[in-house]
Amino acid sequence: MEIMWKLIEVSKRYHLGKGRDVLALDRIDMKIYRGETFGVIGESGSGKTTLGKVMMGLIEPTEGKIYFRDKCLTDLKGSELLNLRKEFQIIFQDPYRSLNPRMRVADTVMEGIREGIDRAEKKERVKELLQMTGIEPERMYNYPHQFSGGERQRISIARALSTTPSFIVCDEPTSNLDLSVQAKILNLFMELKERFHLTYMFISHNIKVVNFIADRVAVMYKGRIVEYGRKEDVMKNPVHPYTDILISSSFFKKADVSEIERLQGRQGCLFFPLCPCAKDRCYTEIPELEEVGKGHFAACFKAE
Amino acid sequence: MTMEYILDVRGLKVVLKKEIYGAGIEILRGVEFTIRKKESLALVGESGSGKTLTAMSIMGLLPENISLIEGEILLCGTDIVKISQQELRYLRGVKAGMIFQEPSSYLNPVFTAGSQILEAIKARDISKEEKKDICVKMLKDVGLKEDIYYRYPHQLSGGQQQRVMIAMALINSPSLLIADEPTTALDVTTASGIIELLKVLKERYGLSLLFITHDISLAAGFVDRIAVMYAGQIVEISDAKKIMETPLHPYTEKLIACLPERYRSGERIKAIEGSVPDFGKLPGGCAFHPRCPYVMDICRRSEPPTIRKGGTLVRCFRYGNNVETNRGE
Repeated sequence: MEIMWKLIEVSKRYHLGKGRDVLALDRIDMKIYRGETFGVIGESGSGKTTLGKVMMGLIEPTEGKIYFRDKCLTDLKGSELLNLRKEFQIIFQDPYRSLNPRMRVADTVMEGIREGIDRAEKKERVKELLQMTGIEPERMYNYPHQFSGGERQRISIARALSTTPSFIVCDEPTSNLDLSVQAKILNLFMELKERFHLTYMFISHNIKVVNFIADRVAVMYKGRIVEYGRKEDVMKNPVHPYTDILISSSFFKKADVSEIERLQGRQGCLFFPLCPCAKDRCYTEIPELEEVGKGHFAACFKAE
Repeated sequence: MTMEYILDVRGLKVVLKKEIYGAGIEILRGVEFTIRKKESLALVGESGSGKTLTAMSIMGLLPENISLIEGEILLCGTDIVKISQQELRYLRGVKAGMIFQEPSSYLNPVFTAGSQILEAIKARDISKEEKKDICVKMLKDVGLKEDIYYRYPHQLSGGQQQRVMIAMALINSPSLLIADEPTTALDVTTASGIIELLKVLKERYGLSLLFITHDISLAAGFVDRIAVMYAGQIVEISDAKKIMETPLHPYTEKLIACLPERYRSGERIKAIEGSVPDFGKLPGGCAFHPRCPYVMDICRRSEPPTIRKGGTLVRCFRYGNNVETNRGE
């Protein structure tokens, strides 16, 4: 299988001031293959969105290399980077905030079409894109507030498609929607994937949705990937205790933020204070991702 | 009428005032359901089906431009449609408490969590210290530490804010708690924490619960009965487990079919065609007929009857068209 994305030891550190730091991404190593849907699950604050934004070049990583196909994004600059960026797009969680309220839908979608074509052709293209995503082209001169949540998410999708990308990060695209609308949007994602041979990275905290749409799944916890592999392996035979808790979505106590910050400064597993099967070793050593099955990795000493 | 029901809603209609919206548009069209003591009922449906509106009517919180015209809402035996705002103020909080979807927009950002909880018991004839003790005990009951009392809403996480809201709603020990999508804005693990808390509190305080959500599978996980709403009417009420296995109304069936966990990867979800109709332009006959896969001629012409059998209720022609009028079983 062709590798589309390759991330090597990508970290993102934010300075909170007063000498406090937070590691939003902690040495992320992963690959995304062409044509797959790569699911990322985790709670808010686990670094899912940061990961998506780092890949889109919206945030610069503190360390590490990101390869898209054979090009290293972290080394590219200027027009080369701009040209490459057309290849990948992102759809955000909140369709109420990610569309400019003062721009007509047609203009929003048209912005992405920059090829040397005249305005009439661009207009045709916008109509086509809206039609594809299920918005009546007659409504192209309306403003975002004249659309429902599901319709706005369709407009976001049309905008993402306007640069004819091969890869799309879907950052919780259905979590603000009703279940009946979510069903339609998920169907649309699948249709578009087949039609344009797209590759997706699908970020969500909803395990049911990821389990439905993804081929491979990564589980994130406090900026680290703690487990990843084929969906069937991860969902049916989770190795990391955190994955287990997420899947059963059973209730567990959250650690204090201060506790986590304290732990981030030292060696050891970040899940230690919450882990039902923690041992002494987990407090002093960091478990690295180890292969526990074919293509199935987990960062837990239990796996050894 | 017995006190067996904590909440008994009968033929509730809400009509928008003519002066503002032209013709008097009905936005709740004869809602009927009951909640017994210690029972939990979920109102399920898409946005725009009238779930929140029903809850707001029960709390007497409908805005001025809307007039309640018909029906009865018996809250612990008192018809809150008939009583004055003044009388309602004494019932609100004491008989029924409510929590909302987005806790951050219901908490006042310039007051501490403690002072906002305290507000609900200000009128009590006890000393300041006693009042504070009550608040602190309440905070502990909802699983928060004492120091949350002095925190401002922005210093709290979404889950903590929702817990503060629950504390506010329960501090006057109401018999009924209305929870309007309390977990929608929250993370999975935080959400399951809130659901778990609601379960515990329901037992501890002997609460009746009206739970509002669009996620029928979430509701089925912990309530006793489910009522499905569509276009301002309840189209089906049934036992929570029964409804997931054998939904009667086509709308319920379609709602359950929207759940992604019911499909294998690569399959298309059998989504409901079309969208919730505008209340101004409701289709004639059964409001669901344009989206219904089993639509018959009669559905386009006349309103479907309400059929009650055992503990279930369904409003659909597929189950006959003899109208029974007896309430309950």
